[in-house]
Amino acid sequence: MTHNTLGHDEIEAFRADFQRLESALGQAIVGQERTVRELLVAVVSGGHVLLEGLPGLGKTHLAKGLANAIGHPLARVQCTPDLLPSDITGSEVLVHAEGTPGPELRFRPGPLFASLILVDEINRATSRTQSALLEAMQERQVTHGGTVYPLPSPFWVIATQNPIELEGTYPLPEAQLDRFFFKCEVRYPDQGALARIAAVSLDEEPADHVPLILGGGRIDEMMKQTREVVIAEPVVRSAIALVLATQPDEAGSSRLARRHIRYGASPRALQTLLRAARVRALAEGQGHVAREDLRAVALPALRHRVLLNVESEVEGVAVDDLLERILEQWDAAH
Amino acid sequence: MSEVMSEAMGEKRSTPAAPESPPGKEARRLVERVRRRLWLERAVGLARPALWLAAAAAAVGGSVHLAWRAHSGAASAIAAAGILVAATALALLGRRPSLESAAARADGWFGGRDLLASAVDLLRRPADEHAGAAAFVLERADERAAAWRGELRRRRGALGVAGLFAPLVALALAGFLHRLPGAPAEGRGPAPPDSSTRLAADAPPLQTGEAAADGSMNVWGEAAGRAAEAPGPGREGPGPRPSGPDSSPSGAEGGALHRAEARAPGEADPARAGSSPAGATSIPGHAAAGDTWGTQPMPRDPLETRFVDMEGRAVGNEAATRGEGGVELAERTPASPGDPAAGTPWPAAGGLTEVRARESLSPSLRGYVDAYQQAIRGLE
Repeated sequence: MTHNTLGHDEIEAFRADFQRLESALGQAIVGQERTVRELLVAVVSGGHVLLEGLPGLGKTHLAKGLANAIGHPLARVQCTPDLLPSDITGSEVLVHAEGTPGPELRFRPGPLFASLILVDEINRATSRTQSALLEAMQERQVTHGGTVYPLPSPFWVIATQNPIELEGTYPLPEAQLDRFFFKCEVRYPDQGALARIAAVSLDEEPADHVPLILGGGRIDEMMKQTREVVIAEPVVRSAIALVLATQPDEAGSSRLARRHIRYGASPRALQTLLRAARVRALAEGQGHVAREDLRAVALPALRHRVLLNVESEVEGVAVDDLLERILEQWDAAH
Repeated sequence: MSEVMSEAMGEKRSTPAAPESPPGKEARRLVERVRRRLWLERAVGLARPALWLAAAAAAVGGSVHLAWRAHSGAASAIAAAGILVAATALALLGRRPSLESAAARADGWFGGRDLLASAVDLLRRPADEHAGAAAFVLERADERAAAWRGELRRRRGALGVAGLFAPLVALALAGFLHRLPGAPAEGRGPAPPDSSTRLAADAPPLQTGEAAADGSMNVWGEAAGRAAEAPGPGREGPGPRPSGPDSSPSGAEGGALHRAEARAPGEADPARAGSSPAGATSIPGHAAAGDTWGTQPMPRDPLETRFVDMEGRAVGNEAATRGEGGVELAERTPASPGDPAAGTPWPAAGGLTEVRARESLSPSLRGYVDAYQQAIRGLE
């Protein structure tokens, strides 16, 4: 088993780069510091992000600013009910190539063949189109006409969805949701943030002016460095306990989960927790994962992987509130 | 090798550098200390309820002792000691906290952010399984451990030794209950002479006989008062209690005099018990004539000096009781039903006619005796 040594200098460099990235995006997307940090943790972890929030909160601008900061081109897909899978994966077109006797069918890659894809209002696409994203997000490849086309690496999908105006939408199925590394809530900015928004983005779009922060494959290097972070066995056990605490039927499930949850977090949630915690640890200048890292990434990692039962939905139980209470119990136990 | 320049000697000598400790050694050492501390904390935590239990056992034993004197204190001492020994054994034989839990606790104490837990976990694994940041983590753990060692020393209060104070005080107080005199038990007799409970309250009651038991003591006082008020030449003459320093209530021997006055008429003078004829009872704790007090003769009861003959010459105790040239006022009357003289009326049939040599009494004394007899008859 070979490892790249991750010493003090490397960790400090990681922390510095992460902070620069965070700072640049924070200046462009005012009042969304928490969302920015969660987005960056997911991106450095190599995961896909689902941004949920009301229109006008800067979801699209956040993706644009990120693309500028990490130096990867952004491909955008605006989802509508008539969007076809081939519109995003690509399709075969007749091409009149020189030196060929006649036109021939050639695969024309769709927007999925970009490193960073913004899938706007993903819940407006049909289930068929949404499912086309499944293979791309998980397998990082596209199959067309029996041919497999690998997607570039790194590959990120940043999808947005609107929690209101649900008429004519296609809510993402659980399997689709589970493929998102994080689900970030884009909350309404407070008064101070609104004042700053008025000051910095009245006549121009700040996200368009985010400079390149991590060029030359630095983001890939950072993603590799996260694998060298130490995760002690007790911390892994704590992460497992947290995932099990969301299960309604498993041993180790909490009373809250038994009462309110229909389906708990999947094993992929455990992977997500640990991967995200590694990034956060490095961003904090640490070489090891702590339980507080798990705690910090738990909500975006779990909130879309927990399904409430009918009774709780009728009662209007909020998933975040429920998870917070489970996390409090987990905190006390660990 | 590091070089040290010795300026005084003007020579250059090299000293070997201290060998670098393996990574994680400091962290492990700190965790071991924390582990011992946790063990101690657990022992103290066990000691607290054990001490309370022991105090409760001692208190129960002490209460029983105080209420019924049915408990010598040994049983409660054994119970208390047993509880303490059991708690100690539990603490010593119980499983020591694991290194992992000690590391987690230390992280909690010092805000270690699971650093020590990670270091301990790394030290447990083979080096080839270490992640790339392992060396950094161990190095940082060593640095922090060196700093936290001082903090650990300052965490003495966390042991909770102060919490033992209250149960220890309770245990001491409960133990003190056994040192207090217990109540006399029914039919159990006096406490052993060497017992710490041998106090005045423990002494057997004086056998004052029926006269005292039925309130005759007060009657005697009233009778004496009436005798004092009775007219007669004896009022002016020398009374049965010669005046002088001996009769002064405030004198050094006034207490003895008062004691004699409070004695029932038929009660034997304890001071004379040793020389009294048959029927006299020796009461433990009371001196008798002829006793010695160390190498010195026991001070005589001042009452003995009252026995004088007609010419006013002092006569001995025995002579007086035998009626040789003196009065026999102190002739004993039955004191208790078990006494051989029980059933003999007092004053004896015939009243004072049985008092020999009545005629030889001085007029004042005779008047006193008459008044006394009259008072007694009035009561009868």
